[in-house]
Amino acid sequence: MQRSIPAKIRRASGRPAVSFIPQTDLALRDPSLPTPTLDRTARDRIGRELRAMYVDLARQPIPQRLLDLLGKLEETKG
Amino acid sequence: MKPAFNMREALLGAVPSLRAFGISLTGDVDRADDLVQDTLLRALANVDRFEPGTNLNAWLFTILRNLFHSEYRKRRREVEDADGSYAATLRTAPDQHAHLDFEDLRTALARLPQDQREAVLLVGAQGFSYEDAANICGCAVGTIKSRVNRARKRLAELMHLVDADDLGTDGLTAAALQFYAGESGAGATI
Repeated sequence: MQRSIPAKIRRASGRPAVSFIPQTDLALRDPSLPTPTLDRTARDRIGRELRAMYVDLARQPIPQRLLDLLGKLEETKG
Repeated sequence: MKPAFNMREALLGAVPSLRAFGISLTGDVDRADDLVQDTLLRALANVDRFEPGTNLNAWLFTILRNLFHSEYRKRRREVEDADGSYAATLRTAPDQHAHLDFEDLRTALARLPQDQREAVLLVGAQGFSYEDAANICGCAVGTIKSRVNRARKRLAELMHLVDADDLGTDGLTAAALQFYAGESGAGATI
């Protein structure tokens, strides 16, 4: 999967930035291939963990005091 | 006649993600619930300022974030070591079994500078576009991108997902991350 490397990166590094070329779809990669770029793997992992933590937190029941607060709104509006 | 826009239901629908943001931001469930409660009260008090059809979540997150920051400034006068106090609250988080899996992440988040923490939460966890996150934080889109990139890099280091040496020079890393940010577009996966 050859892709052109942005000039910006080539200039900044002084060496080929091959390891920073994004993988198109990690899930479809042959596991026997060399590990994809460390950065990409780390990025994906952090992204997954952040979202998983968030989903886990958002799934927790809403405390009664917040429900009561919103319940009052319903009453006042009629 | 049913109103076209039910504010109560809209607020109720926003509460879970407001709580998730508040808890991730403060590391403290009770404090987060106080923030969410104050956010709802303030939203209700200013409800005529909200235009139905615009992004309610972004509006609510802006309120919560502003409340957090004004509270933080107040607390800062009382507690010298803000990061230390944040880290300490991690131990007292209720519903512990639910958080054990994310202990590394939570500890790493606690060690991020506050501006980076909120940026990576808004974009990476909540899924706001860079533009929305910039509006919420009251800063430029480029600033948000840079904060998210730095947060991501720091989280990877703190969670030992990456050897700091492997990242190469800062210039290379910054350029590469910027490349990603540009390519992945607004609100894309972190």
